[in-house]
Amino acid sequence: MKRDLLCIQCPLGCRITVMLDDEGNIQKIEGNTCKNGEAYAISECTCPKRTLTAILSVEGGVIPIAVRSDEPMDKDRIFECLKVLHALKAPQGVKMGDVILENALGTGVNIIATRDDWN
Amino acid sequence: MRTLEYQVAVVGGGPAGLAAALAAKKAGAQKVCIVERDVRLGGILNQCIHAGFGLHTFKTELTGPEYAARFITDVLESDIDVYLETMVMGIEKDKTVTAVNRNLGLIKIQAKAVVLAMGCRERPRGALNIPGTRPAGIYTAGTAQYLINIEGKMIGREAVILGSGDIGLIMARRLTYQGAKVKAVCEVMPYSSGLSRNVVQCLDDLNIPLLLSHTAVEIHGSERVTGVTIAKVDKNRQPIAGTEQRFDCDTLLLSVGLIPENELSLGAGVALMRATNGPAVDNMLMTEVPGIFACGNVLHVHDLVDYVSEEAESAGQSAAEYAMKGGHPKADLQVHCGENVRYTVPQRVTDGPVTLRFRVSQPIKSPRIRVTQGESVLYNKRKVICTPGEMETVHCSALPNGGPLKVEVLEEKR
Repeated sequence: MKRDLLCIQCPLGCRITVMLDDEGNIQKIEGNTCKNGEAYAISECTCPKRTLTAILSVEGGVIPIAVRSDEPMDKDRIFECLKVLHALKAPQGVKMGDVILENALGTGVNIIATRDDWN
Repeated sequence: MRTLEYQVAVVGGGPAGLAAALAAKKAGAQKVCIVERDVRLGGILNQCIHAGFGLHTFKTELTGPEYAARFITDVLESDIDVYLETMVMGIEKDKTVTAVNRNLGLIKIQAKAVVLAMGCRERPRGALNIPGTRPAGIYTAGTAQYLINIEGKMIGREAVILGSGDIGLIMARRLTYQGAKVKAVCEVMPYSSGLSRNVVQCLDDLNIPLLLSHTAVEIHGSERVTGVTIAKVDKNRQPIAGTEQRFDCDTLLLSVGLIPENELSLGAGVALMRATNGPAVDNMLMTEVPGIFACGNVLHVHDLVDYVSEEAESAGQSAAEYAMKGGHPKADLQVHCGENVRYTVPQRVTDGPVTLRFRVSQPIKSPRIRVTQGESVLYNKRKVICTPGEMETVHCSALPNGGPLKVEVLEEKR
């Protein structure tokens, strides 16, 4: 299998091609011009992570609060996590930094507020 | 009408205004105020709930509101006066700022120095001349961001995004996260105008197609948008007949550029530059009106807020020095744009250490950035790449009586 990546380590934006075998093991990395690019390609093909940010409605309020994962989480679980979050309502009076959802989906990542409740 | 006296008055309470006011205070100005038209400080950062701010300044990845909070806390702990929900009506050459709010009515702020930090607004549909009807469902990307992230309203179910500026890319992801389907992002240029990080994380991650060298040629729908016709464009950005394809959608987002909000600047007699749509300034970020300074997106559009804060600090400090001393060093060395340089800020400098910010006019691989003054080379460094989407900053030292400076970016054969 072949995967095409756009490297985001610097503005050069190298087009990297990664060859994977059937088990997803990396066979070959091509197109990168530096070591950072190689490391990026490896992490993207083995355990890509992203910081999740979302909005959440507030109990009895109009203005939503904004939240994020306190550290990058597995990219594959973002939508699953969004589903859980969208079913939640934040209590009133939340402050920036408050934990809204502990250990989301058992990933060890917490979801925290990034804005005070403005309602 | 009540008259209030300040040494430094800052117009706008976004990232630029916050950093400018704090720096003015730190530089020794006694009385500093921020005048903000919104109900809270923070400006556009409040609606930018995605992560990626502050990597340069705080070495950590913050969201917009978190980045703003670091400055807002400092402002509230200082004795900077903040006027919220206060609209500035006009600024005079003598540094009087006329403003109005609900509690004080019409007020006059008599300042020794004024910092312009009003930011930008978005280019609307009217600036694009897209044929078709005028249905509901057409939003600028930033307005959509405000409605979703601050008002908590959803704006549509199926969307096409015109323009690949960073806000458009960020909104492609936000809409998808909120359950909408983004069918395509189309960009008239052959390259994205957004950061490649955003192309990867907002489009590639979600399998949203990015159609380069494409534009919208017709908007369909009478009450609400029902579709958008997209076509390929040629080298001159003209649609190519026969390449049209229709996307059914109920929403069209426009992310087609920002316009510095300089109505107040013009009213004060500040001269604007054609290339930036922002004020002409010297290396202390003073406009051609003595005592009026400018920073942030009202001066020129930035790609990273970290650079806005940095620039605004220098404007705030200069404004405080002007307010306290009354005088200002003469900056009469012109800065000229050489090969591949679209604009520079500032356009005039003093001799001694100067910071030059600029953008290239096209992507250049293996560039050499060079600043010269007559025969003297003030700066000369190679880079891996320069792209129009990323602002460049160089620090160098201008020579007295050395004549104008020239900034150029030369393509090197490797």
